[in-house]
Amino acid sequence: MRILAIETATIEVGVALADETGPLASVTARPGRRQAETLHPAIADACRIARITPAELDAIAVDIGPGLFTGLRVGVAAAKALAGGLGLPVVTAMSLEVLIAACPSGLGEVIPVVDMRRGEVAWLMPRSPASTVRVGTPAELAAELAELARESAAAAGNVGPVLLVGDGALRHRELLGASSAPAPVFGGIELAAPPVSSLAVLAIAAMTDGRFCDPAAVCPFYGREADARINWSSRQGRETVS
Amino acid sequence: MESQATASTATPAQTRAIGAGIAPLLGAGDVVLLVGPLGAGKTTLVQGLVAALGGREPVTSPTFTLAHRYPTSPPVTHVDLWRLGHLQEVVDLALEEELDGGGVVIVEWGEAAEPLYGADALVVRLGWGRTDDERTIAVEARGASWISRAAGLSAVAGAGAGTPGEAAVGEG
Repeated sequence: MRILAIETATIEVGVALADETGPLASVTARPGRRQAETLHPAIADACRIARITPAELDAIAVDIGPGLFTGLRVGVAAAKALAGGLGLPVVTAMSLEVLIAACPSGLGEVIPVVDMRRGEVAWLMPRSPASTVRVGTPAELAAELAELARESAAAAGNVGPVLLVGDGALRHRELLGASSAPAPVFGGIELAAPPVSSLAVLAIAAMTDGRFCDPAAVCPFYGREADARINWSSRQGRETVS
Repeated sequence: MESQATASTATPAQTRAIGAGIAPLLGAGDVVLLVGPLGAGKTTLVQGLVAALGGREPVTSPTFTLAHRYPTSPPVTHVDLWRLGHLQEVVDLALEEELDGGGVVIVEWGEAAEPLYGADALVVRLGWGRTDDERTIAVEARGASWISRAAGLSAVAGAGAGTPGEAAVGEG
Protein backbone atom coordinates (compact mmCIF):
# COMPACT_ATOMS: atom_id res chain seq x y z
CA MET A 1 0.00 0.00 0.00
CA ARG A 2 1.37 3.39 -1.01
CA ILE A 3 0.21 6.70 0.39
CA LEU A 4 0.98 10.28 -0.55
CA ALA A 5 0.71 12.54 2.51
CA ILE A 6 0.18 16.32 2.28
CA GLU A 7 0.86 18.59 5.25
CA THR A 8 0.14 22.33 4.97
CA ALA A 9 -1.71 23.10 8.19
CA THR A 10 0.88 25.41 9.71
CA ILE A 11 4.03 27.20 8.58
CA GLU A 12 5.47 24.16 6.83
CA VAL A 13 4.65 22.56 3.49
CA GLY A 14 5.41 18.86 3.62
CA VAL A 15 4.94 15.94 1.26
CA ALA A 16 5.75 12.31 2.09
CA LEU A 17 5.33 8.95 0.42
CA ALA A 18 5.04 5.92 2.65
CA ASP A 19 4.13 2.26 2.67
CA GLU A 20 3.79 -0.32 5.46
CA THR A 21 7.56 -0.21 6.06
CA GLY A 22 7.46 3.52 6.82
CA PRO A 23 8.25 6.77 4.98
CA LEU A 24 9.87 6.29 1.55
CA ALA A 25 10.54 9.93 0.71
CA SER A 26 9.68 13.31 2.12
CA VAL A 27 10.10 16.92 1.08
CA THR A 28 9.50 19.83 3.44
CA ALA A 29 9.83 23.58 3.12
CA ARG A 30 8.79 26.75 4.92
CA PRO A 31 7.74 28.84 1.95
CA GLY A 32 5.94 31.67 3.71
CA ARG A 33 2.91 32.64 1.63
CA ARG A 34 4.01 30.53 -1.33
CA GLN A 35 2.28 27.32 -0.23
CA ALA A 36 0.52 26.73 -3.55
CA GLU A 37 3.67 27.38 -5.57
CA THR A 38 5.68 25.03 -3.33
CA LEU A 39 3.32 22.11 -2.75
CA HIS A 40 2.95 20.77 -6.29
CA PRO A 41 6.66 20.76 -7.19
CA ALA A 42 7.26 19.10 -3.80
CA ILE A 43 4.77 16.34 -4.69
CA ALA A 44 6.54 15.80 -8.02
CA ASP A 45 9.94 15.73 -6.31
CA ALA A 46 8.84 13.29 -3.61
CA CYS A 47 7.37 10.94 -6.24
CA ARG A 48 10.56 11.15 -8.28
CA ILE A 49 12.79 10.43 -5.25
CA ALA A 50 10.65 7.48 -4.19
CA ARG A 51 10.27 6.31 -7.82
CA ILE A 52 6.53 6.14 -7.43
CA THR A 53 4.14 7.47 -10.04
CA PRO A 54 0.76 8.89 -8.99
CA ALA A 55 -0.89 5.93 -10.76
CA GLU A 56 0.78 3.61 -8.22
CA LEU A 57 -0.75 5.34 -5.20
CA ASP A 58 -3.47 3.72 -3.07
CA ALA A 59 -4.58 6.74 -1.05
CA ILE A 60 -3.96 10.43 -0.36
CA ALA A 61 -3.53 11.62 3.22
CA VAL A 62 -4.02 15.21 4.30
CA ASP A 63 -3.84 17.24 7.49
CA ILE A 64 -7.21 19.01 7.79
CA GLY A 65 -6.21 21.35 10.64
CA PRO A 66 -6.70 23.21 12.84
CA GLY A 67 -4.13 25.65 11.54
CA LEU A 68 -3.76 28.45 9.05
CA PHE A 69 -6.52 29.03 6.51
CA THR A 70 -4.33 29.70 3.50
CA GLY A 71 -2.20 26.60 3.97
CA LEU A 72 -5.18 24.37 4.74
CA ARG A 73 -7.03 25.51 1.65
CA VAL A 74 -4.01 24.74 -0.55
CA GLY A 75 -3.38 21.32 1.00
CA VAL A 76 -6.98 20.14 1.22
CA ALA A 77 -7.76 21.32 -2.31
CA ALA A 78 -4.71 19.48 -3.64
CA ALA A 79 -5.61 16.28 -1.78
CA LYS A 80 -9.21 16.36 -3.00
CA ALA A 81 -8.16 17.07 -6.58
CA LEU A 82 -5.51 14.35 -6.68
CA ALA A 83 -7.73 11.77 -5.02
CA GLY A 84 -10.70 12.68 -7.19
CA GLY A 85 -8.64 12.55 -10.36
CA LEU A 86 -6.90 9.29 -9.49
CA GLY A 87 -10.01 7.65 -8.05
CA LEU A 88 -8.41 7.21 -4.60
CA PRO A 89 -9.75 7.44 -1.06
CA VAL A 90 -8.55 10.17 1.32
CA VAL A 91 -7.28 9.68 4.85
CA THR A 92 -7.66 12.74 7.04
CA ALA A 93 -5.85 13.56 10.26
CA MET A 94 -5.89 16.59 12.52
CA SER A 95 -2.72 18.61 12.98
CA LEU A 96 -2.87 18.03 16.74
CA GLU A 97 -3.04 14.23 16.29
CA VAL A 98 -0.06 14.33 13.94
CA LEU A 99 1.98 16.27 16.50
CA ILE A 100 1.11 13.69 19.18
CA ALA A 101 2.04 10.84 16.83
CA ALA A 102 5.41 12.48 16.22
CA CYS A 103 6.34 12.29 19.92
CA PRO A 104 7.97 9.12 21.26
CA SER A 105 5.66 7.33 23.67
CA GLY A 106 6.59 7.13 27.35
CA LEU A 107 7.50 10.79 27.63
CA GLY A 108 4.43 11.53 29.71
CA GLU A 109 1.39 13.54 28.72
CA VAL A 110 1.72 15.32 25.38
CA ILE A 111 -0.34 18.43 24.67
CA PRO A 112 -0.10 19.69 21.08
CA VAL A 113 -0.61 23.45 20.61
CA VAL A 114 -1.09 25.00 17.17
CA ASP A 115 -0.75 28.75 16.66
CA MET A 116 -4.01 30.14 15.25
CA ARG A 117 -2.65 33.73 15.10
CA ARG A 118 -4.14 36.88 16.56
CA GLY A 119 -3.73 35.70 20.15
CA GLU A 120 -5.39 32.32 19.77
CA VAL A 121 -4.14 28.75 19.89
CA ALA A 122 -5.75 25.34 19.36
CA TRP A 123 -4.89 22.46 21.64
CA LEU A 124 -5.93 18.97 22.66
CA MET A 125 -5.82 17.86 26.29
CA PRO A 126 -4.31 14.44 27.12
CA ARG A 127 -6.44 11.31 26.52
CA SER A 128 -9.05 13.43 24.73
CA PRO A 129 -10.62 12.50 21.41
CA ALA A 130 -9.82 14.71 18.42
CA SER A 131 -13.39 16.00 18.52
CA THR A 132 -12.60 17.86 21.75
CA VAL A 133 -10.18 20.33 20.15
CA ARG A 134 -10.06 23.52 22.17
CA VAL A 135 -9.53 26.95 20.63
CA GLY A 136 -8.79 29.89 22.89
CA THR A 137 -6.24 32.30 24.23
CA PRO A 138 -2.88 31.13 25.61
CA ALA A 139 -4.12 32.32 29.03
CA GLU A 140 -7.07 29.93 28.79
CA LEU A 141 -4.70 27.09 27.90
CA ALA A 142 -2.46 28.07 30.83
CA ALA A 143 -5.47 27.81 33.16
CA GLU A 144 -6.27 24.34 31.81
CA LEU A 145 -2.66 23.28 32.30
CA ALA A 146 -2.75 24.47 35.90
CA GLU A 147 -5.99 22.57 36.47
CA LEU A 148 -4.56 19.43 34.88
CA ALA A 149 -1.48 19.62 37.13
CA ARG A 150 -3.69 19.98 40.23
CA GLU A 151 -5.87 17.02 39.21
CA SER A 152 -2.86 14.85 38.41
CA ALA A 153 -1.17 15.70 41.70
CA ALA A 154 -4.35 14.90 43.63
CA ALA A 155 -4.84 11.59 41.83
CA ALA A 156 -1.31 10.28 41.70
CA GLY A 157 0.64 12.27 44.24
CA ASN A 158 3.79 12.77 42.27
CA VAL A 159 3.51 13.54 38.56
CA GLY A 160 5.94 14.43 35.81
CA PRO A 161 5.70 17.51 33.63
CA VAL A 162 3.53 17.63 30.53
CA LEU A 163 5.20 17.97 27.13
CA LEU A 164 3.97 20.89 24.99
CA VAL A 165 4.69 20.63 21.26
CA GLY A 166 3.76 22.71 18.22
CA ASP A 167 4.31 26.28 17.04
CA GLY A 168 1.67 27.61 19.44
CA ALA A 169 3.55 26.18 22.42
CA LEU A 170 6.83 27.72 21.26
CA ARG A 171 5.27 31.10 20.53
CA HIS A 172 3.70 31.37 23.98
CA ARG A 173 6.47 29.54 25.81
CA GLU A 174 6.94 32.20 28.49
CA LEU A 175 3.28 32.28 29.55
CA LEU A 176 2.71 28.52 29.27
CA GLY A 177 6.01 27.68 30.98
CA ALA A 178 4.89 29.51 34.11
CA SER A 179 1.39 28.03 34.08
CA SER A 180 1.78 25.00 36.32
CA ALA A 181 4.02 23.03 38.63
CA PRO A 182 5.91 21.04 37.65
CA ALA A 183 6.58 23.39 34.74
CA PRO A 184 5.75 21.99 31.28
CA VAL A 185 8.56 20.75 29.07
CA PHE A 186 8.68 22.11 25.52
CA GLY A 187 9.28 20.26 22.28
CA GLY A 188 11.94 21.59 19.94
CA ILE A 189 11.54 23.55 16.73
CA GLU A 190 11.53 20.28 14.77
CA LEU A 191 8.09 19.75 16.30
CA ALA A 192 6.82 23.27 15.55
CA ALA A 193 4.94 21.96 12.50
CA PRO A 194 3.26 18.53 12.32
CA PRO A 195 5.91 16.29 10.66
CA VAL A 196 4.58 15.00 7.35
CA SER A 197 6.29 11.63 7.82
CA SER A 198 4.23 11.15 10.99
CA LEU A 199 1.08 12.00 9.03
CA ALA A 200 2.06 9.38 6.44
CA VAL A 201 2.63 6.68 9.08
CA LEU A 202 -0.69 7.54 10.78
CA ALA A 203 -2.40 7.30 7.39
CA ILE A 204 -0.97 3.85 6.64
CA ALA A 205 -2.42 2.66 9.96
CA ALA A 206 -5.75 4.31 9.21
CA MET A 207 -5.95 2.68 5.76
CA THR A 208 -5.18 -0.70 7.32
CA ASP A 209 -8.05 -0.11 9.76
CA GLY A 210 -10.38 0.99 6.96
CA ARG A 211 -10.58 4.60 8.18
CA PHE A 212 -10.71 6.59 4.95
CA CYS A 213 -13.30 8.60 3.08
CA ASP A 214 -14.42 9.84 -0.31
CA PRO A 215 -12.54 12.97 -1.47
CA ALA A 216 -15.82 14.85 -1.80
CA ALA A 217 -16.40 14.43 1.95
CA VAL A 218 -13.11 16.01 3.01
CA CYS A 219 -13.42 19.39 4.75
CA PRO A 220 -10.77 21.49 6.45
CA PHE A 221 -11.19 22.17 10.16
CA TYR A 222 -10.35 25.83 10.57
CA GLY A 223 -11.15 26.05 14.26
CA ARG A 224 -12.85 29.41 13.87
CA GLU A 225 -16.59 29.27 13.49
CA ALA A 226 -18.87 32.23 12.97
CA ASP A 227 -22.41 30.97 12.81
CA ALA A 228 -24.26 34.12 11.81
CA ARG A 229 -25.66 35.62 8.66
CA ILE A 230 -24.54 39.16 7.95
CA ASN A 231 -27.25 41.68 8.68
CA TRP A 232 -27.14 43.67 5.49
CA SER A 233 -29.72 46.30 6.36
CA SER A 234 -27.02 48.81 5.43
CA ARG A 235 -26.51 47.40 1.94
CA GLN A 236 -29.51 49.11 0.42
CA GLY A 237 -27.54 51.23 -1.98
CA ARG A 238 -27.29 54.96 -2.09
CA GLU A 239 -28.67 56.79 0.89
CA THR A 240 -28.86 60.52 1.26
CA VAL A 241 -28.38 62.59 4.35
CA SER A 242 -30.74 65.52 4.53
CA MET B 1 -11.84 53.80 25.16
CA GLU B 2 -13.56 55.66 22.39
CA SER B 3 -12.43 58.67 20.52
CA GLN B 4 -13.91 60.35 17.51
CA ALA B 5 -13.15 63.06 14.96
CA THR B 6 -15.30 64.29 12.12
CA ALA B 7 -14.59 66.09 8.89
CA SER B 8 -16.37 67.15 5.75
CA THR B 9 -14.91 66.96 2.28
CA ALA B 10 -16.01 68.67 -0.90
CA THR B 11 -13.99 66.74 -3.49
CA PRO B 12 -12.55 63.25 -3.98
CA ALA B 13 -9.09 64.79 -3.52
CA GLN B 14 -10.10 65.91 -0.04
CA THR B 15 -11.44 62.45 0.76
CA ARG B 16 -8.11 61.01 -0.39
CA ALA B 17 -6.40 63.52 1.90
CA ILE B 18 -8.37 62.13 4.86
CA GLY B 19 -7.11 58.67 3.90
CA ALA B 20 -3.58 59.99 3.70
CA GLY B 21 -4.05 61.55 7.14
CA ILE B 22 -5.08 58.20 8.63
CA ALA B 23 -2.10 56.40 7.09
CA PRO B 24 0.65 57.50 9.53
CA LEU B 25 -1.49 56.38 12.49
CA LEU B 26 -1.54 52.79 11.27
CA GLY B 27 0.75 50.00 12.37
CA ALA B 28 1.09 46.24 12.13
CA GLY B 29 -2.09 44.41 13.03
CA ASP B 30 -4.48 47.35 12.67
CA VAL B 31 -7.99 46.99 11.28
CA VAL B 32 -9.83 49.87 9.60
CA LEU B 33 -13.56 49.34 9.07
CA LEU B 34 -15.07 51.58 6.38
CA VAL B 35 -18.82 52.07 6.72
CA GLY B 36 -20.94 53.96 4.23
CA PRO B 37 -23.31 53.57 1.28
CA LEU B 38 -22.36 53.03 -2.36
CA GLY B 39 -20.49 56.01 -3.73
CA ALA B 40 -19.73 57.49 -0.32
CA GLY B 41 -16.02 57.50 -1.07
CA LYS B 42 -14.74 54.35 0.67
CA THR B 43 -12.42 53.31 -2.15
CA THR B 44 -11.40 56.94 -2.71
CA LEU B 45 -10.30 57.18 0.91
CA VAL B 46 -8.32 53.93 0.55
CA GLN B 47 -6.59 55.40 -2.53
CA GLY B 48 -5.24 58.25 -0.42
CA LEU B 49 -4.31 55.92 2.41
CA VAL B 50 -2.42 53.42 0.25
CA ALA B 51 -0.60 56.16 -1.68
CA ALA B 52 0.49 57.74 1.59
CA LEU B 53 1.99 54.42 2.70
CA GLY B 54 4.07 54.28 -0.48
CA GLY B 55 1.69 52.38 -2.76
CA ARG B 56 2.41 52.94 -6.43
CA GLU B 57 -0.25 50.85 -8.14
CA PRO B 58 -3.77 52.18 -8.68
CA VAL B 59 -6.25 51.24 -5.94
CA THR B 60 -9.55 49.91 -7.24
CA SER B 61 -12.57 48.46 -5.50
CA PRO B 62 -12.09 44.81 -4.52
CA THR B 63 -15.84 44.16 -4.71
CA PHE B 64 -15.44 41.25 -7.13
CA THR B 65 -11.93 40.13 -6.25
CA LEU B 66 -12.71 40.24 -2.49
CA ALA B 67 -9.17 41.29 -1.56
CA HIS B 68 -6.24 43.25 -2.95
CA ARG B 69 -2.85 43.34 -1.30
CA TYR B 70 -0.55 46.32 -1.67
CA PRO B 71 3.21 46.06 -0.96
CA THR B 72 3.22 49.19 1.17
CA SER B 73 4.86 49.73 4.53
CA PRO B 74 3.11 48.30 6.48
CA PRO B 75 1.52 46.08 3.80
CA VAL B 76 -2.18 46.80 3.23
CA THR B 77 -4.83 44.18 2.52
CA HIS B 78 -7.91 45.90 1.11
CA VAL B 79 -11.07 43.79 1.28
CA ASP B 80 -14.69 44.36 0.33
CA LEU B 81 -17.42 42.36 2.05
CA TRP B 82 -20.29 43.49 -0.21
CA ARG B 83 -20.69 40.11 -1.87
CA LEU B 84 -20.57 38.07 1.32
CA GLY B 85 -23.65 36.82 3.11
CA HIS B 86 -22.38 34.89 6.10
CA LEU B 87 -19.94 35.81 8.84
CA GLN B 88 -18.07 32.56 8.25
CA GLU B 89 -17.15 33.89 4.80
CA VAL B 90 -15.48 36.84 6.51
CA VAL B 91 -13.63 34.43 8.81
CA ASP B 92 -12.59 32.43 5.74
CA LEU B 93 -10.73 35.44 4.34
CA ALA B 94 -8.07 34.58 6.96
CA LEU B 95 -7.41 38.22 7.76
CA GLU B 96 -5.78 37.10 11.03
CA GLU B 97 -2.86 35.84 9.00
CA GLU B 98 -2.41 39.24 7.35
CA LEU B 99 -2.68 41.06 10.68
CA ASP B 100 -0.36 38.67 12.46
CA GLY B 101 2.13 38.95 9.63
CA GLY B 102 2.52 42.68 10.26
CA GLY B 103 -0.12 43.90 7.86
CA VAL B 104 -2.96 46.41 8.01
CA VAL B 105 -6.44 45.34 6.89
CA ILE B 106 -8.85 47.90 5.41
CA VAL B 107 -12.42 46.61 5.15
CA GLU B 108 -15.08 48.13 2.90
CA TRP B 109 -18.63 47.43 4.11
CA GLY B 110 -16.84 47.03 7.43
CA GLU B 111 -20.06 46.85 9.45
CA ALA B 112 -20.28 43.20 8.35
CA ALA B 113 -16.99 42.49 10.14
CA GLU B 114 -17.91 44.29 13.37
CA PRO B 115 -18.62 41.07 15.29
CA LEU B 116 -15.06 39.94 14.55
CA TYR B 117 -12.98 43.12 14.62
CA GLY B 118 -15.23 45.89 15.95
CA ALA B 119 -13.82 45.94 19.47
CA ASP B 120 -10.36 47.08 18.42
CA ALA B 121 -10.45 48.99 15.19
CA LEU B 122 -10.54 52.36 13.53
CA VAL B 123 -14.11 52.80 12.27
CA VAL B 124 -14.51 55.33 9.46
CA ARG B 125 -18.08 56.29 8.59
CA LEU B 126 -18.63 58.03 5.27
CA GLY B 127 -21.91 59.69 4.36
CA TRP B 128 -23.44 62.05 1.86
CA GLY B 129 -23.40 65.77 2.57
CA ARG B 130 -25.76 68.49 1.44
CA THR B 131 -24.37 68.76 -2.07
CA ASP B 132 -23.55 66.10 -4.66
CA ASP B 133 -19.83 66.25 -3.99
CA GLU B 134 -19.88 66.78 -0.26
CA ARG B 135 -19.10 63.89 2.07
CA THR B 136 -19.09 63.66 5.84
CA ILE B 137 -16.42 61.46 7.37
CA ALA B 138 -16.40 60.39 11.02
CA VAL B 139 -13.38 58.55 12.35
CA GLU B 140 -13.82 56.60 15.56
CA ALA B 141 -10.99 54.84 17.41
CA ARG B 142 -11.98 51.78 19.41
CA GLY B 143 -9.94 49.58 21.69
CA ALA B 144 -6.88 49.69 23.91
CA SER B 145 -4.34 49.85 21.12
CA TRP B 146 -5.82 53.13 19.96
CA ILE B 147 -5.64 55.00 23.28
CA SER B 148 -2.19 56.41 22.65
CA ARG B 149 -3.03 57.26 19.05
CA ALA B 150 -6.39 58.93 19.63
CA ALA B 151 -4.75 62.34 19.78
CA GLY B 152 -3.76 61.93 16.14
CA LEU B 153 -7.37 61.79 15.04
CA SER B 154 -7.97 65.54 15.20
CA ALA B 155 -5.10 65.98 12.77
CA VAL B 156 -6.87 63.54 10.47
CA ALA B 157 -9.98 65.70 10.47
CA GLY B 158 -7.81 68.69 9.63
CA ALA B 159 -6.44 66.87 6.60
CA GLY B 160 -9.73 67.31 4.77
CA ALA B 161 -11.46 70.53 3.88
CA GLY B 162 -12.37 71.34 7.45
CA THR B 163 -15.84 72.68 8.03
CA PRO B 164 -18.86 71.69 5.97
CA GLY B 165 -19.63 74.07 3.17
CA GLU B 166 -16.13 75.39 2.90
CA ALA B 167 -15.05 76.16 -0.65
CA ALA B 168 -13.54 73.19 -2.46
CA VAL B 169 -9.85 73.16 -3.02
CA GLY B 170 -8.73 72.07 -6.46
CA GLU B 171 -8.47 68.46 -7.55
CA GLY B 172 -5.14 66.70 -7.85
